Amino acid sequence: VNFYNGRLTISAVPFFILLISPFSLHDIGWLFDRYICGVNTVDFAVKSISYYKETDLNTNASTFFTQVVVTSSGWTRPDSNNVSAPIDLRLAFEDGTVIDTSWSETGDNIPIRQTFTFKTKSAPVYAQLDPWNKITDDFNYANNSLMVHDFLRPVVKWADRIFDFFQNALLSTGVLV
Amino acid sequence: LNIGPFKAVRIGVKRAAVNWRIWFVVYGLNFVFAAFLALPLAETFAKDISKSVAGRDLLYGFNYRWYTGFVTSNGNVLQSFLPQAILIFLIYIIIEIFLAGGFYSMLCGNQKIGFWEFLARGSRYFFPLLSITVLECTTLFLLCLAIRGELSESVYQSIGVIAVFIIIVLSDFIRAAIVIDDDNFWSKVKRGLSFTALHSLSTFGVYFCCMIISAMVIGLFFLFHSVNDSTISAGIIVEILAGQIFVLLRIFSKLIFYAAEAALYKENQIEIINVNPEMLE
Repeated sequence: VNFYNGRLTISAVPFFILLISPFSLHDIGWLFDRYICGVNTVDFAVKSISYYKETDLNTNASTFFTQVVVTSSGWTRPDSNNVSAPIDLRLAFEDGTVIDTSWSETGDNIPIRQTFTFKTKSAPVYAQLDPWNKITDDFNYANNSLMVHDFLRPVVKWADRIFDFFQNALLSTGVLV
Repeated sequence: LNIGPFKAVRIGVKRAAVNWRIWFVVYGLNFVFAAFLALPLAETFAKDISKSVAGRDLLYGFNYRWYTGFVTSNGNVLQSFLPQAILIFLIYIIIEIFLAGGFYSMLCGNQKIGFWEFLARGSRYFFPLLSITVLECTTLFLLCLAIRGELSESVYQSIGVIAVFIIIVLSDFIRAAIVIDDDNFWSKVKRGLSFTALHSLSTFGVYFCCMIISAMVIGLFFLFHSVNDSTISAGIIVEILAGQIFVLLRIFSKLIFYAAEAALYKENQIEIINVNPEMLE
């Protein structure tokens, strides 16, 4: 894309990068080099979520310290310019509040594994990477989030549906008998 | 002397209700085999969704984005599951064929049959019933092979559905002939075929009646699904119970069908025997 008589016209990708780079506050080379033009897959994952509680004996107020470990693989890794792709991280709490932050770093020795620590007044419920589904080609969406406690209702519901499916499929073979 | 499809179905309902023990034999068999099939898959599924937000979202509807990831990360499990599933289905069909002889014997008359007699009848009719199932499957396969190139056209689709329906009806009445008549295999096949052709209105009528009963059962189940809230614990428990009641009703409609076709064949076959010249001599 090029500016021609004040209008955008189609041009080669390198020119487009040159054109928009001054307007961006970050190095967005990764977006073109690896996400749009690259062939690598990407997988973000929340590896663990843990917390401990501290209670002030004088005021009886509780404080929760939560640790979330996240990893990324594929094209989100730092490139030759030591720039990684940014990703949103959401932490939800029992009182209904959420903390939204992002994992975006530049510089040397960018880790592909990062630990986030939060100090809050409520216990955590879950941590979720990319809650707004911005990274559409993350190949394993299931590991993008982790809940502190097992949530069994969907497990029971879908296990029953799988069981029902096989019961009915077996009964349907009865047309041959 | 002849009975029509409605009377045959009425007799079928009565006999299926009287022989309620068969329900539980079929249900137990179905339950055990479905558990063998569902457990490995449900376990993999549970590991994947019990701790993720994507799993929690599955409570409110199917998540295709999650499913793509699930298949990507569990591809090997799903691939190795397929041969195991086919094997379990085959074993189930073979056991059903074995039991079908006993079921027909119980449902075609008012006589009480004990457990050992039931097994004896099953083994007696096993190979003829297996042969007819193999013949039926081969015919259906050849039919699919013959029209596979033309299936994009609605005319051929309709012809295919009608042909499949006719093959299934013919096979079912041959099965009834196998259990009810005492003769060699090919004579029973011939008699089953000629009976279906001579009494086409009644034989196909029984099928349509049973299809209407099955459609009503399925309709009730879908109606229940549309009003039940399966996002809450009570709704999930009700869904589990409704699923099992649905399976029991499907088994009941299948037994009605067995009994109705056996009754129709047994009551109306006298006419065929009477027109047989050898019998007249």
